[in-house]
Amino acid sequence: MGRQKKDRDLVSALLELCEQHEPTDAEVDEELRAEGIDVPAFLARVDARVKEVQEDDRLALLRSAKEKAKARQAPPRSRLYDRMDHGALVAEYSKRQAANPQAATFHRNFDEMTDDDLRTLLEDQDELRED
Amino acid sequence: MPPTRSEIGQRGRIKGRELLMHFRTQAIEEIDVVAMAAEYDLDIRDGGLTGAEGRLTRGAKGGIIRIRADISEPRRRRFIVAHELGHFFLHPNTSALCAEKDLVKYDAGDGEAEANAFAAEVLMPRPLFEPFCNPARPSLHVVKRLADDFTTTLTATAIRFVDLTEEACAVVWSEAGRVKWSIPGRNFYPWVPFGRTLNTLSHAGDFFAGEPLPDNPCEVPGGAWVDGGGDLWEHSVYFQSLSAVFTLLWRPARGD
Repeated sequence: MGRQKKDRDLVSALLELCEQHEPTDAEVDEELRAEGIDVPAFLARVDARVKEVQEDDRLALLRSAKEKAKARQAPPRSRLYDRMDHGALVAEYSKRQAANPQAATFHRNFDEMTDDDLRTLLEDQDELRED
Repeated sequence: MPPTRSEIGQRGRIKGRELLMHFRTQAIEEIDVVAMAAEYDLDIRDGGLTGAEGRLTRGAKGGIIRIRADISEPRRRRFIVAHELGHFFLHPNTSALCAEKDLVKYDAGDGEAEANAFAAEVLMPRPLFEPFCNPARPSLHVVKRLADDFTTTLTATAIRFVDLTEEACAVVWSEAGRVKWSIPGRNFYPWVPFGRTLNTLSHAGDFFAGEPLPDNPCEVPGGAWVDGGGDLWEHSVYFQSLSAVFTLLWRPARGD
């Protein structure tokens, strides 16, 4: 007989016992022992299983987040802005900011961005807008 | 009165703790900042960035975190991701471009200090880190072990250590014979002034004068680092790629 079936039978037996009359803990232990059932071992198994389920539940979000991270794939760069010079890149960025003042997005340390940084910034914004 | 470092970092630490609680984090190996970022639709991209260490660009939901392509050291990458995550949670209307200097700001009353406090809390959660912060003798050896355990940079770990230890400790970053910045722990005073020229009473000063650095902490006169008496223990290491000396100072309690 599988352990799970055995445990189920044991729980059924306990419930049946409870329905008949309200036995004391000692009576229950004694009766189960008489049936050849190891009560401490059974309780230890229940305890371990409860902990296992709790731990599994606790780490569920992290597990799904890890899967999400693994599944994410960066698309190839669009390179749409590769031919723009510094002035054109800044103008394009400023235009976007002006077009969406509610977003109130501003870039910390904007002045430190190189032209290549500005290009990927515009590409990233395009990609995020498509989402 | 200007806010203290502790006050400046408070919001960052609280947000960091909230994130750990959201993920129900209980152990060091459960701290996966890339997965945490993915949960909030933040993509991590290598490259496409040359003028800074990291950058967060926001979208309507989520965003893109870029890390400079030549940063391959996993601990530094982890810190940058955690720092940008900090901006994401703390500064809703801001995209961020973060230079190296921003990643060591802990005192300035701006967003960078908050993002650093957030990153420190997420990567080195106080309940997991603090129990290791009161060794018999603080040194960079102790900090290095912690950095290995928490997969964090030596600099970030030392700053966290100094923040949480009861010992009178400080960290100092020096370049070209001068103190570039210093961070004192709550029991270390007086402060090591920014811009102070290192003298040859200190091993860091000796190093800039051409002497090798000792491998272990050594006792030096207080005047090596601060105005005022009392001996200090100095443990310095050289970061070749940054041409900088990083120092942990410790003032033992009387009787130690």
